[in-house]
Amino acid sequence: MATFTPEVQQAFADTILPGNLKWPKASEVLEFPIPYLSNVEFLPEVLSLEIWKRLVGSSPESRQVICAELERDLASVFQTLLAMIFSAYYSHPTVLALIEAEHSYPARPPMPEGQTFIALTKPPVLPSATTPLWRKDGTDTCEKVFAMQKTDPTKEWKLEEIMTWHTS
Amino acid sequence: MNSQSRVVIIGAGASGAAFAWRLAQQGVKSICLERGDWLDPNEIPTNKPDWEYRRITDFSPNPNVRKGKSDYPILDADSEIKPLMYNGVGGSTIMWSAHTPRFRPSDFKINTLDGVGFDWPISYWDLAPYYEINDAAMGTTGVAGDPGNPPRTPRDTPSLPYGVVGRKMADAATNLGWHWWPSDGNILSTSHGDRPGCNNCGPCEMGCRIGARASVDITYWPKAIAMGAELILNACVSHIEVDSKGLANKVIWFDQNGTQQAIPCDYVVMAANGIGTPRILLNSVSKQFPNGLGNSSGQVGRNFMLHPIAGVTGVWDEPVQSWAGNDAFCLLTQHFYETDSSRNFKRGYEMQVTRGQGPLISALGGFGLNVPWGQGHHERFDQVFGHVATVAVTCEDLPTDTNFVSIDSHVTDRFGVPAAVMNYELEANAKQMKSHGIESAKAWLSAAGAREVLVNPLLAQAGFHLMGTTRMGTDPNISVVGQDCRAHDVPNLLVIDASVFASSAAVNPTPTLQAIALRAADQLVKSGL
Repeated sequence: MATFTPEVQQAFADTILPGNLKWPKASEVLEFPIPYLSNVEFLPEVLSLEIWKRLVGSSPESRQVICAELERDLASVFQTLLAMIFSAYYSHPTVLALIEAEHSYPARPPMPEGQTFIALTKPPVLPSATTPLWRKDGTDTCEKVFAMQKTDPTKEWKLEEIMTWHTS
Repeated sequence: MNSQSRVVIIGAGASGAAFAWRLAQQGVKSICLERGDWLDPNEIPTNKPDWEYRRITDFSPNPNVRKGKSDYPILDADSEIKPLMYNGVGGSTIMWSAHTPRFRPSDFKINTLDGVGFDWPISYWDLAPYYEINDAAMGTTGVAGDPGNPPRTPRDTPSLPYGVVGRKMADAATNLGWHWWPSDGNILSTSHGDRPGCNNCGPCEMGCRIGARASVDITYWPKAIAMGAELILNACVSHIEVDSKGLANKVIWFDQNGTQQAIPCDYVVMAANGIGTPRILLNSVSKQFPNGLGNSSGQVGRNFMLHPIAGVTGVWDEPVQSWAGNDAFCLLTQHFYETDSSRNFKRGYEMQVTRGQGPLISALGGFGLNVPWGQGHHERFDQVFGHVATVAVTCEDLPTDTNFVSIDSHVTDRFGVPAAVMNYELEANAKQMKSHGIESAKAWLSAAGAREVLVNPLLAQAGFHLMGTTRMGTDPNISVVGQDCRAHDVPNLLVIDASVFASSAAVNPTPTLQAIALRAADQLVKSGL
């Protein structure tokens, strides 16, 4: 990664994750070089892009324009970098703690604890059993089952009954 | 059939496992060649900080992204929808959401009823008993008594929690006059048998570390193996050979060292999914079958159906806890499922309520959330994270000659076996249907109080329902297998996966393909060559 230096990575990361009054910008939580990026194999022509040099030292507005150029011209490279840097950021303990505080999303992976639903004051009421709503297929079995379901929509069916339905 | 017959199953996924179990129950042993291995639940990364990144890289359901050692190349440049599958014991039930609605009776008679597509030679009623057997084997959550479908037995455990989103969408459907019902799923909401209840962690399709969500490596296979079924792992099948009478007599495969092996067989049972099965058959060229095994009709690989799915996402002002619970289903409506002459398309679609994603996928704008990078990123993240739900509009796909799976000998897997090629574009009926479905989903979300509605008109990374490529029928000129899943051309060759689907319906295919596999096993046992 001759030209994708830690300084370039930081400039890129702070452009795509600029932060605001509530959220930290990328460089406030991440360390550079980003470990994820050491595993990625970019083509030499990607590494030697002039665009990386232009990023460092540019104003935030200019960097936004430069990154948009990269997104337009080298979409897959841009998306790969975006996913890696976003992943590093959104799995960082500091950011996860903020997400938990702001959105009640637990600051941990989904397993092993799982998630707890907000208790509903009143669960939805199931549509009441009515005449069958499905379309008949013209077979004798269909007519028979449809009629039985219509007569007794709340009947609890047994496997033994259903086992007699097949025709072949 | 003779119980000493050598039955070789290719593929240890949903259908292969069900078939092996059903045979073993009746004293018939089988050998299954599986190109992958067992997945240790401890390898499922949902307990790791970077679990979402793994989901879009080496733990992706897309084999072309994941590039695992058991995956084979699938050329998808000419397909609007990309392939999703898992290669290993359990097949794609390792990476599925376990949503298990059944086909409806009309789905088997679409030509008779609506003048489109192709009728099945069997009916819903032929499969109904096998749906029940499969539900019991997999473990099913839900609520019996849905007037929108034929009767079924009580489910093993109650439906999964609705959550805030489910409540809003259920009430909205009721207010719109649309029938809805909680989804059936192969997920246990409470402990049942030796499996625990779901802890609502969310990303079911990454695999379930605790086994609350079913996959056939924990349901069918342990029982089948205990009864004598045999699994050969890391066995990549290249082709099938035939004898002078044109019967399949040998399956050729490569072991993990790249050594070619051959296994003699009395029956070969294809269970390698709607892409893998035609790939092997088309690669099985012989003097008797110069265009591929069982392909005198030229139909192997044809009639490739996927489900075009639109994702319509609602954003609420208030938090709706998007990340809690199974992310792929909650409840559904089949209000627009059947043909209505007032619409400009035949057949119909299902809408299921899915939930939102974790922080990374949300930040990346997954499901069309329209989250920018750079200026405004964090503000938009705050608006959408935990505030969304997506209605998946699943459209019935009709079979066409122009959508097909083929092979390309210029690109091969690591053993030199030609790659599969997906050739697929949405047909006109599906486009009209999808447009209608998007408007319905928008209306539903708005009625549920969503402040903003975002439309992803086609989920490209949604090619998990691979159907139709060796379809079932009575006419050998336009179908590949008969009602008993035996190839018209090769009576000791069976296909039991979703390749045999004559129509796609508008629902997830797994319970239907498993019911077909169970029925085919019974029919094979009852009969003989």
